[in-house]
Amino acid sequence: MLNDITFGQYYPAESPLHRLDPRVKLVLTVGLIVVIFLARVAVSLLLVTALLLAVTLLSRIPLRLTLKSLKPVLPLLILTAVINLFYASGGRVVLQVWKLTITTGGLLTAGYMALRICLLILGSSLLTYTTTPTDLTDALERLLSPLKAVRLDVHSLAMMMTIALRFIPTLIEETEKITAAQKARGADLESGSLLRRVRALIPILIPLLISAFRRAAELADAMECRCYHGGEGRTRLKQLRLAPRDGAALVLFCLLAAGVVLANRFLPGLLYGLFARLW
Amino acid sequence: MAELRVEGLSFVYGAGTPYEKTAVSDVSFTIAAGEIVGVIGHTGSGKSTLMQLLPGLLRPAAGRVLLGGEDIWANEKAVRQYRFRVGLVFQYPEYQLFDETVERDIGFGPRNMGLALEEVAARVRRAAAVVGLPERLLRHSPFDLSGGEKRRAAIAGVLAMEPEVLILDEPTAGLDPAGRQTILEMIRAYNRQTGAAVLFVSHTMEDVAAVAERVLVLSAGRLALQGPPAEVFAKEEELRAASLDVPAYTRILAALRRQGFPAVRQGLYTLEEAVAEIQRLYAEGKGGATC
Repeated sequence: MLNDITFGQYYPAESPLHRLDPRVKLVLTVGLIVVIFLARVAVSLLLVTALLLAVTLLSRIPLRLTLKSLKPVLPLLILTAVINLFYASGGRVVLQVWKLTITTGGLLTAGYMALRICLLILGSSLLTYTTTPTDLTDALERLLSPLKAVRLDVHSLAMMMTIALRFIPTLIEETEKITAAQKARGADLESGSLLRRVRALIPILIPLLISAFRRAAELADAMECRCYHGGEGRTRLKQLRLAPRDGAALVLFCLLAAGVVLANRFLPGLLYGLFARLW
Repeated sequence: MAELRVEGLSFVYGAGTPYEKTAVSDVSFTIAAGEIVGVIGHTGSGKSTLMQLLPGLLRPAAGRVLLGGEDIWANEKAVRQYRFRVGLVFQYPEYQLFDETVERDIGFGPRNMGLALEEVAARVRRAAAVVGLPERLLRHSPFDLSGGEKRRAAIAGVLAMEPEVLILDEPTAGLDPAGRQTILEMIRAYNRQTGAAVLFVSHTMEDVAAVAERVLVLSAGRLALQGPPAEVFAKEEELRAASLDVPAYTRILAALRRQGFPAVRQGLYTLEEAVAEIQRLYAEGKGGATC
């Protein structure tokens, strides 16, 4: 079950997306999130979807893998859709059962919300699939470096993030091992009331916590043995440099953003109109 | 006490994904009641996966695990009951300790079995005695114990379920020679006292040679060899092919034979046998018979 969390796992491949400067990718991902929420009408949402699909194909990451990143958020996705289905109003009434009414407006809002969440997850997991955690935090450190002026220790923050990301798979593996070991002693995790099931997690969580602290202490020792003393005067093996393709990516993104804003402004209700007429 | 039989067992990790990997393929063997069996194999040969298949922690892709003739997966809901009868001690079991006291931790398995409190307490005491854990330590927190004591407490946690088949995955890994000796003696003691079969995985050929009555050799997920230690360790070529080695004592005797001592007997694999053989050669050598 825990293996399903592919979010935040680098997938090695040779693609223009992999070669893009991580700073640019980070900025574009944040930009994409903004654009996804800016996209209010069907045409602009479809525009974003099309671009994201094209970029995914460009990244040479198997489509199945990217879709797998949606699995953990599926409950959230369904919940949001269902709530919007009943609460959003407008349009014609499609179905009415007791006090619950489903309107065409509700259907559309639910669909939009679900699509937005999907796009958010796909977009951000594309970043983590094509960028190694080290590159990512390196980019973050560079982008946040102006904050050093306000005495924010950007380097330490970036280092903490790198370590946290690096240890997610390790801790997942550890959880699986401990779960299997406690099951071997007859731990029953699958049956009983909610309270019983939560209590059944104690034999797993305590060893996991202890092992996390042990690992942290060992890692700190190992870092100190290699004379780590924070970011002061630390140089890099890999210097980040912007290339023409980074500029191209930025331009492409600006075009998308402009397209979305224009579609919002001039093409509202285009698909909605079609949809309503067909109904 | 029941026999454990495995028929055509296979297991695949990540079936249907690009990371698909067959860990165990078409493995069959029988562990008779009361037998001590050693399992050897190179890293990644599927030992740990096989060990997890035996108590039904993993569901085989093909094949069956039979305990006393019953298929443990016949009823999916009842598979948990078999885990009390086929006890598995994982690698580095000390990392699973969790309870407030050593006593409660050892009693976790028996409590899960639904035994009465007095019975749980009695089993905890018996298990602690088998692993040589002093009574006074039972009231301590498991996290206050030394490394070796933690390992023994964790093993006691499985012994307390009094399984008919005890499986240990590298029980001596990371221990000093004295600690290793204690664990091996404990394996023998549990086997002698309860008549349970014991299956243990080891990277140390010398440990396997010293304790096992039979050896299973795994290579790339398959059962490459099986038989009594004398027979298995005589097949040096096959062992090399599985990236394994024979015990150091066997190697020394083989080297002596190559160095011009044709009278050295082969098929000896324990320290005692090797010492006796070298003493015999030495005595004969003095008489001028062979060298």
